[in-house]
Formats: sequence, C-alpha cells, structure tokens
Amino acid sequence: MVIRQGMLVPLLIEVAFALSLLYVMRRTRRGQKVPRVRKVAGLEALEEAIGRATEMGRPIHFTPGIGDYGEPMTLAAFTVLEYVAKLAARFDTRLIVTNRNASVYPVTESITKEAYLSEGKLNAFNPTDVRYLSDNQFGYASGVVGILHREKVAANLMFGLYYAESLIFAEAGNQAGAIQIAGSAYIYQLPMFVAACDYTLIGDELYAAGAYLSQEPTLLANLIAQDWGKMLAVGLLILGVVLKTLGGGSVARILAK
Amino acid sequence: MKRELPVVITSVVAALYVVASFLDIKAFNVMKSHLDKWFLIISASTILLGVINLYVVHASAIRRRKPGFVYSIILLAALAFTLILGLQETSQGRNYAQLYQYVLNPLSSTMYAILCFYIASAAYRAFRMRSVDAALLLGTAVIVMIGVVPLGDVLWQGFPKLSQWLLDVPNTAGMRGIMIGATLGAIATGIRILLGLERSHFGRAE
Amino acid sequence: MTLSERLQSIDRRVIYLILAAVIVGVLLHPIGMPIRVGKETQTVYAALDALKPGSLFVLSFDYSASNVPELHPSAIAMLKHAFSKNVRVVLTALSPEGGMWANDALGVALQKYPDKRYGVDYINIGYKPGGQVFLEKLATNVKDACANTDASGKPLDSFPIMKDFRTAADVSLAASMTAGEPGYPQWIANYGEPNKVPITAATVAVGVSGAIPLVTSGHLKGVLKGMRGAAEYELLIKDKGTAVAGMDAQSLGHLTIVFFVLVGNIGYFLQRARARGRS
Repeated sequence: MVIRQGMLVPLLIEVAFALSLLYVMRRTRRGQKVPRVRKVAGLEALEEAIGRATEMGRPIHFTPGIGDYGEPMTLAAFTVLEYVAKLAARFDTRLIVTNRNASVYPVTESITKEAYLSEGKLNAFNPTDVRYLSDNQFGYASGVVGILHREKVAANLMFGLYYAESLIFAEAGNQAGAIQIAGSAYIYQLPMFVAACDYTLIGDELYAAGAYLSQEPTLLANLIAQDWGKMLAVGLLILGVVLKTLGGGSVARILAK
Repeated sequence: MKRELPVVITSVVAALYVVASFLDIKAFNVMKSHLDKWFLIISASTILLGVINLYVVHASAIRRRKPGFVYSIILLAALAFTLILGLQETSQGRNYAQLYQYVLNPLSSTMYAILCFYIASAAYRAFRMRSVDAALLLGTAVIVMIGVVPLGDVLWQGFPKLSQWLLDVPNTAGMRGIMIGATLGAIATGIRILLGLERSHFGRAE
Repeated sequence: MTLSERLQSIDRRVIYLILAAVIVGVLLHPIGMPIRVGKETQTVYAALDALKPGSLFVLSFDYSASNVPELHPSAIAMLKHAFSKNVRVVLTALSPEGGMWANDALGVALQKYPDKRYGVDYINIGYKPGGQVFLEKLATNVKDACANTDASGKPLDSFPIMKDFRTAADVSLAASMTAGEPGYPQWIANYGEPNKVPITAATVAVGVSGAIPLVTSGHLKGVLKGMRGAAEYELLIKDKGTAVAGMDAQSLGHLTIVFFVLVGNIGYFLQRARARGRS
C-alpha cells in the first residue's frame, strides 16, 4: 500500500479542504461578495493599543512567541507583526521586537524594516530595536521582562506559541502598566493569557488574523472554507456520538484507515 | 524573479513534504530526510545572526554609556566565556557541563518558580465576580484548585470528584473545540503558504 | 482609601511574601495530609504493571531543569516500577537537557536496584535532535535514528538489549514526561498511533487540562498530573519521594491563592453594596 497506515482519511480530508479553499477563492475573484466577518475584539484593539502608546510617548513591545520558523503559530504571528509595524511607523511610535529563536529573528527584522519602508519611514527604523535575546526559554523570558520594565512599554503584544513564559510576560506587562493583547492556539497557555491580558485571540482567531487585518477578499474567503471544515468536524462528532450510543460502528475506526 | 523564486521553492518543498507525509514512496522519503537535515543545519546556522545582533545591541549600549550598560558588559563577557569554553571542551566537557548544571539550570528554575507568585497575583486581579461569566470562571477555578490537591479530600470528599468532572467534561469539550478550530486554521495557513498566497514569512511587507 | 478599595488592591509584594512564607513553612514542617490515588494515576500504574518481565518500556525525558520538581519524581517512580517488574527500559529525551536528567533518574533508581546492568536491563540513548522526525525514524529503525550511538557515544550494536529493540513493534509501552513540545503530542502522533504502541504521559500541572481530552479519547493510556500525579505514583510503588513531600506545600499554596481571590471579591462586593446604598 502506497498510502501510509492511517493516512487515507486524513489525505482525503486534506485534499477536500484544499479544493474547497481554492473554490472559495476563485469564487471571490470572480466577484462573489465575501460574507461579513465577525469582529475580533483583540485585533480591533491593536490600533487602540498602538494609539495609546503614541499618546503616552512610550514604546510598543511585540513578541512572535518562542516557536521556530516552521511553527504555524509563528507564521501567523508574522502577519500581525506586519500590521503592527506599519501602524507603528505611521504613528512614529517606537516598536521593540524581541526574538527567542535565531531562525525567526532575521524574518521579524526584515518584516519590520519592510513595513517602515512601505510607510516611507525607513529613517525611523532602528535595527537595534529588533532583538535576538536568547535561545534558552527562560533566558528569553528574563530578557523580555527586563525590557518591559526598563523601556516602560505601553503596549505589550504577544502572538504565537508560548509555554510557561506566557504568564511571566503578561504579569510583567501588567506591572509595567501596558495594555496587553495576546493570541495563541496553544491551548495549555490560553487560560494564562485570558486571565492576565486585556484581549486574547483564541485558537483559530490567530490564524484568521492575516485575513482580518488585511481585509484582502481572497484571504477572507479562506475563512469560509475553514468554517466548512468546522461543520464537517461537528457533523462527524454528532455521527460518532449517535453511532456509539446505538452501539454501532465507530467513526474513529473509519477515520483511522 | 527575486520575489517569485522563494514562493516557488516554498511551494515545491511544501508539496514534497505533504506527499511524503501521506504516501510511502521511497524517493520522497529520501528527499524528506535530506530536507529535514537541511532544516536543522539552516536553523542552527542562524544562531550566528542572533549572536551578531546581541553584539551590535550591547556594544552600542556600552559605547553610548546607556543606563545599565554594565549589564551589557556582563552579558558580552558571559557570551564570550561560554563560547570559548564550548569550543575548547565541546558540550561534553566537564567545565561546560558544570556551567550548564550549576548556573543555567538554577537560573531557569528560578524563572519558572516565579510563576507560582505570578499565578497568585494574576488570579487575585482577574477573578472578580463582575458578571455571570466571571462568576463561572471564578467558581470553576476555585473548585479545580482545591480539588486537585490533597486538601480537597480533607475539606470535602466532593471536591476531587467535582474537579475531575470539570476537567473531563466541560474542559474537554472546550479544549477539543479550540483544538479542531486551531488545527483547521493551521492547515489553512499551510495551504495558503503552499499556494503562495501568504508571504509575510519571507520577511516582506506586501 | 476605604476598606473595600484596600481589599481589592493589595500590593502584589504582600501576596508574594505571604505565599512564600506559607510554602516554605509547610516544606519545613509538613502536615502529612492523606493523598488519595486518582484514576488516571492508577491507569498509568496498571499499564506498566501489566507488562511481562523482559518487555521493552521506553521512558522519554522531555523536560528541562525548570520542570524537574513536577516531572522528575514521576520519571524516577516509573523507572523504579519498571525495574521492580524486571521490565527492560530504554531511556531517551526529546529535550536537550533530558539526557542529563535521564542519567540523574537512573542514579536514584539504581541505588534501589543495583543489580540492573547497563545495556542488558536498560539503556540510555540520550537526547536526539529532530523531535517528530527523530520519533518517526525511531519507530522504523532505531539504529539509524540514533546514529548507532547511546548517550555516551558508544555503538548501540555492542549492547545485548539492542538485539530486541529494532523498531516500534518491539516496544510494549512508552511514557513521555512532558513539559511542552516536543512531548506526548509527538509521541502519540509520530510513534504511538501509527505503530499501535500505547503511550502514557506525565505533565506539568498547567498542562493537565490539555492532556485530559487525549486521555478520554484514548490517545493517552493515562496521565500523571503534575506533582500530585507523581506523589500518587510514589504511593502506589510504596516508595515515598520528593513529590509526596511537596504535596502539603502545594495544598496550602493553592489555599493561599484562593484566600486572596476571595478577599478581592469581598472588597468588590462591599464596594458594590456601598455604591447601591448611595444611589
């Protein structure tokens, strides 16, 4: 068998998902209206947070989390950074970006620089404000805590993958008096962010950030396909519950083929 | 070309990875294995960029006598010392291992232990019964916190059972919901990258 | 400042100080609260206990120094349990520091079971980089995955235990002591599920809520929940260690946090009552 054990159904689902993504995007390109996307409070608040930092004359801190370059949450964080850096450049507000991962650092530096360039403010870009701190998890955490306190950060933006340092950052940001917005799909740390931050993007909201912030119709259309995927998952869940209750076959067994 | 080449490379490699994950074809497996090694090598080599950035930031702080520049001196000295020791002894060396065990480990543990205090201050600040939602959050937090430690048994036998039920039923339901949504989001991000629709990871604002 | 305002704005340093005093106090003078063994711990214990002598058990140290108080006691207890059942153990690590902690756990377990021989009854293949890539290779070809070396760089071929440890099919049970990722999610997805190897885990307390859905779905055979799980396991193997000693401190630490939460809420309701009275 060429298909790996247990991969047949996931392959079919993935192909169907990719095709539905392509379909909704093609439909949108042909001019079909994109449905209105519900408001995501955390993303709406980004402008307010940057505006607050501008009014106070204090810097913004952005961290893309501690995931490496291959981590989907880190990739999603890049789209938020792009938006934040553009606004920071537009408002002439200092933006400090800290990195834990050496493979992520050159990318965040480049995104920030390009954002300043696209706003015609390249002169305002300070390369030393995009910093690599340490590959060690808690070395990085202590570096961020120091920056939050020393620089008297007014907005602390945390998007991406976080482990135990999530609460360390959020509490340090709170002590510094910063407005805090976080976004992660890592379920173990979400409660920490929810408890300690002003706004939290939960799960797939982080992945929708790029589409939401850019308002690019083809990207927004992506969210429709994601919702179809959710409906399929809910359908399978209900089917599984019914079958199991009736003592019949298990959906899990079919999915494991 | 400069803009398109990275997109083409990403799409080809991503497609290869997807195929190798689902199908058991020797040629793809071999290519995936090579690419895994390349990823590790490239990731490791970026550490050099990180070290250069550290040097630039802290050397500039020392030159300008910024407040707290003494810490920059300590950081650069520690960096140089560890680097030289590591090159001389390798990571298996006795002194290098001791540096790790008796300096880095206690420092990491200290940072982690701080969480205990931060959880206390965050809970004190966040858990206020301002609404029904907040009351539910507070109620479940208190039951689980008491129910998962031996004290729960001592105070009331129902605490551990209630706490276990909260973890098994409402928590599992919520967590699975988030997991399903997040997984679909991650797959959609992957497909967008594969199709070249999302490009911010190339480090360029569009 | 009124009383209600004071109750709502206690200086965080006061909270920290009281919490530290309570924890240190109880660590120095334990109360000895009874510990009930939970069903998840019992499941993990039963899974390992059911293994036949000579079976292979893989124990993975997927944590670093910061998580030692919560996870190391679980690893030591499981290792001792495996030795007591004459189950052969393969120690590995997905965390760079894990290899070092595997050696440390071995040091403790061997004090009780000094007759266990390296390379025969157990082997430490140490930390191997790559996370899920390493696990996929480990499942199909152990020698290749480990570049044919154990933790100290010796060739795997030279150890008798390796004759019976070639692929995942030889393994009866695997346990991941997980602090973050890579950890049990990778063990499940890249090792356990594709090769039908049962996986158990120990996780830090903050990770428990995320692990439970995988226990109820059957992806994890069971989970040891933070220090509490370790303490319960120590009781099951009748060998009390650091986890049992830490349980009183954890109990009173939680109680202190709940106390401050309640104080804050009393202040909040007093303030609300006063505001209502005024209007």
